[in-house]
Amino acid sequence: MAGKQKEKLFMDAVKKKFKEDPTDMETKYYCYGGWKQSKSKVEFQKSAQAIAKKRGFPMMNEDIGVPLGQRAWMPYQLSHTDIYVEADDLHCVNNAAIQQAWDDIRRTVLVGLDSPHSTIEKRLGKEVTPETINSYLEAVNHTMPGGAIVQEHMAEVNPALVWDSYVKVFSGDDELIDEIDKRFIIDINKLFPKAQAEQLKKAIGKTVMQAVRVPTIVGRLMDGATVSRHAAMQISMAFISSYKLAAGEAAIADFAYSAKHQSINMGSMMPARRARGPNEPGGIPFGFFADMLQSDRVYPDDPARAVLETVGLGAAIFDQVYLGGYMSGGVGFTQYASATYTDNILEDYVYHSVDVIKDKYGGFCKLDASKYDELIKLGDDINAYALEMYERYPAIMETHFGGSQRATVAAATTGIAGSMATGVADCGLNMWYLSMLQHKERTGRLGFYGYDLQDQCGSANSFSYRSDEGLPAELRGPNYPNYAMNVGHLSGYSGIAKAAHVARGDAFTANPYIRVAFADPSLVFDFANITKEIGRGGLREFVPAGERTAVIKG
Amino acid sequence: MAAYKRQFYPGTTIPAKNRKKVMDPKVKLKKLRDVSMDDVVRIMGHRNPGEDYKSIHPPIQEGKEPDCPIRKLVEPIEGAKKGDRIRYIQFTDSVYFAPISPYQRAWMYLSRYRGIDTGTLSGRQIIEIRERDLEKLAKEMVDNETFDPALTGIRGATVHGHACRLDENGLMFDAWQRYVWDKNKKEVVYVKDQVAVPLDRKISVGKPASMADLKKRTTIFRADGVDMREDKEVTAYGLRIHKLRTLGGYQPFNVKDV
Amino acid sequence: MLSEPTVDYAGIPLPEVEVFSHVLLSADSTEKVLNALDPIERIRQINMTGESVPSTLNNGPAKGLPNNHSERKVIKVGGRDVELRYLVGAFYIELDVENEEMLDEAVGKIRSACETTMPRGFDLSVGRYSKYRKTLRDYK
Repeated sequence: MAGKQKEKLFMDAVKKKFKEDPTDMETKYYCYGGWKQSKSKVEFQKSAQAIAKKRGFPMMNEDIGVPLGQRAWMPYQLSHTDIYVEADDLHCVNNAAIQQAWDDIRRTVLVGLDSPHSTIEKRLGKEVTPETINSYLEAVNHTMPGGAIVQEHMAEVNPALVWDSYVKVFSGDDELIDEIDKRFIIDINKLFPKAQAEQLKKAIGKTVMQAVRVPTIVGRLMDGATVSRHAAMQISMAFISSYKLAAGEAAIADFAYSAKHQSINMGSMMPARRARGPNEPGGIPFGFFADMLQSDRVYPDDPARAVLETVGLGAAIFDQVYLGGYMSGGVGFTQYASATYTDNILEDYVYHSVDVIKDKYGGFCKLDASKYDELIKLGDDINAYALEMYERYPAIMETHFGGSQRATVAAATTGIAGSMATGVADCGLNMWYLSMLQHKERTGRLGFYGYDLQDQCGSANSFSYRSDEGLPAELRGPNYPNYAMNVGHLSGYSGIAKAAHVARGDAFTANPYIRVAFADPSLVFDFANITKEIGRGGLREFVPAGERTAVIKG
Repeated sequence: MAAYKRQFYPGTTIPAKNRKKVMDPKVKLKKLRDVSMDDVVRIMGHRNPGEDYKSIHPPIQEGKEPDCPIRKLVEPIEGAKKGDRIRYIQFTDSVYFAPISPYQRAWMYLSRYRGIDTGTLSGRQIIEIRERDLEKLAKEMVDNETFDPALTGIRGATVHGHACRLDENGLMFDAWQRYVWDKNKKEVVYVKDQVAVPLDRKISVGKPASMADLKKRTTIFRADGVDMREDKEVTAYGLRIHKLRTLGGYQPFNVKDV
Repeated sequence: MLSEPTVDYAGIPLPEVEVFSHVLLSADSTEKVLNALDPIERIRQINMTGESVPSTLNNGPAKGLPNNHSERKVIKVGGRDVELRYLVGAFYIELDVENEEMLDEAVGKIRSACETTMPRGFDLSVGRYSKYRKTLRDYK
């Protein structure tokens, strides 16, 4: 029966060492740790042994013949990498890569140039040309990090502290972009696969958008709400300088106004009771967040990877930094959140789901979203697989030793499958709740109280669109009323939003501008390789921005 | 129309029937052992046997209760009448075919008892109630068929173990080893109370059931036991609830044939 | 907790054998397994994992009292004393092998040692499960 087949999917490869193709998705669960995945590795292996022999075995307990260690936890393997770290290494206060991922989001604001250009041309009667745009971009790349311009006797920021700050532009207008200094361009044509680039350019049209990155240290010293203000001030100064304007002209206010109020923040302002301004994690809609994730740009043939990476960063930013730090305080939720992006367990479930969807429907988005009973049937199948794995394999049950971990991972899998099968994120969201109800019914246990709270009532709001009752999944966010309190959910919701759109072959989930802005290779954190970056943080290989060493006697 | 008869839980499989049984207050749960009341009190560790109950307010009969229609309607439980403090017992139930699991505990308590406050997590289930009522309830729960010496733990703190493999004697893991395996008698013996304070004397809770017996007694659906999907009615019930909630919040006009 | 990799691997992992017991092993059984593994050549190190059995209760009303867990005891491995801190559930055996034949031979011996000493069953797999590069935690 099905059990036999699953046994094969899961453990065969493990038992028949090295026999599987290491790229075979079906045997992903353990084979990432497999030795000899490539010829070159075998070569390296020999030299490594020589080195190891030469250096000796420093922690060897020679008394007992073989070195013998004891440990409560095996290290965590960052999913789809060969990096192993400890739980401590994934704590957001320890891990510089997680911090930088959040810094790079918070310090971003997108400011359109259309409105200021219109002011310059229509009110001031000056011409805007590619040359003037280039001149402006040079100026703004001086002002944004903290350089003074126009006024005299101004204090400036030490460039060594703010090397990460810059402004680049992008547009769907290839002709205009061709004439702008390449150093200041985020090149959609080069960075995206052709089909995605076409979609993005069509959505963006002739608008010229600036991706503004204020210094990491500014976001840290002040807050996310400062970012648009910092940008507005420095943009205004750059306009004054490059268009030779008088600083007192009323038109200058228009530049500041457009930068502050016609810009796109990564997160919207939160209600007063949360006491957070814009560009704080609680205000980031899942669709925006999904657009920041770039795996499907770099690995367009692997949609599951894109979804898993979204879940991974969602866990780091929403569960660890936001709910674990901003909202809860204290030591946070590292172990709990990291279950979604370590040890390849969610990987196995999601790749299995992809196979099921392809077998059942012949591909993504082929299940008609209006056929609700069929959707439920799919959800039932996928969820049963995930829960069954915990029941059949004690190793998995013990890896996800907490019910909340199991509930999140099973529900994320089911939700992602619902999204990918239909191409509708709301269907995915609905399947998340199906999983939760079934999980509770099947095992007689679920997660902590938060799962009783939002997951028992979630079915009822998953499709609601009316004001005060719901929103499309892509536009919901961490502060959606039912989601605001409970760790372990927001990562899955982010993945569910992403899943629908990668399955559809969409170039973006909710916002084409954000999608392009985070394709920028100048970002410090690589949004196409989330688990790898977090792993590099754990290995001390990641170099963050915003460091103060340049001004500290050392 | 015939009077509505509570079904308690859907389904025809063993776990489903067991769920019905524990939730139906008319069904007397089988008593499998008799741990003395004093020993139950010792294992809970809130007071010494024979010691007076600590109170948090004077007996209700002595006090001047406000003129409140609800208070007139509701008969206080014994501990409330006497002003007892509120104390707890917490059980940990293994995922490996324990006789009951946390949600069924909550449903069972709420179906069978008054005056309780119960909290459900994935690995543990606490129940709080006035102390003298707690003792009565706790003894019933330790003695009856919802308890297995090997797969049910009485643990007030450091409860983890529900997801762990069993040990070589078939016992659920307990870092604090509140109970040990008596090799000679083949019984489980408590040597510490529920928060691991050593007991003055050992308290036997009897022989664990065989796995075959536990599979007949459990309320847990598992792939290596009875899979929930083998029970068509339970599956249909879960999916129906989800569907009705979904439609109720989205297209209530499409809720038909309920 | 042992966290630091025991050798500098130059970034390259050596293979490990995971022996995942179907039950958590008593101290006596752990001793038997380790002594059966001890003479096998090409074992570079063994890491045991399991559930912690602390020596002292670290929280709750009994905080500070000795735990007196029966399985936290000193076992003899290869004639030497080892104090167990866990109820062991798995062994990760790193092998110093240079080719697949050596690997097969060592794995075969490990399997047979486990079959003799772990009658309640185990799963054996080969891969890499432990850190082979230092991480943040190693720089405390």
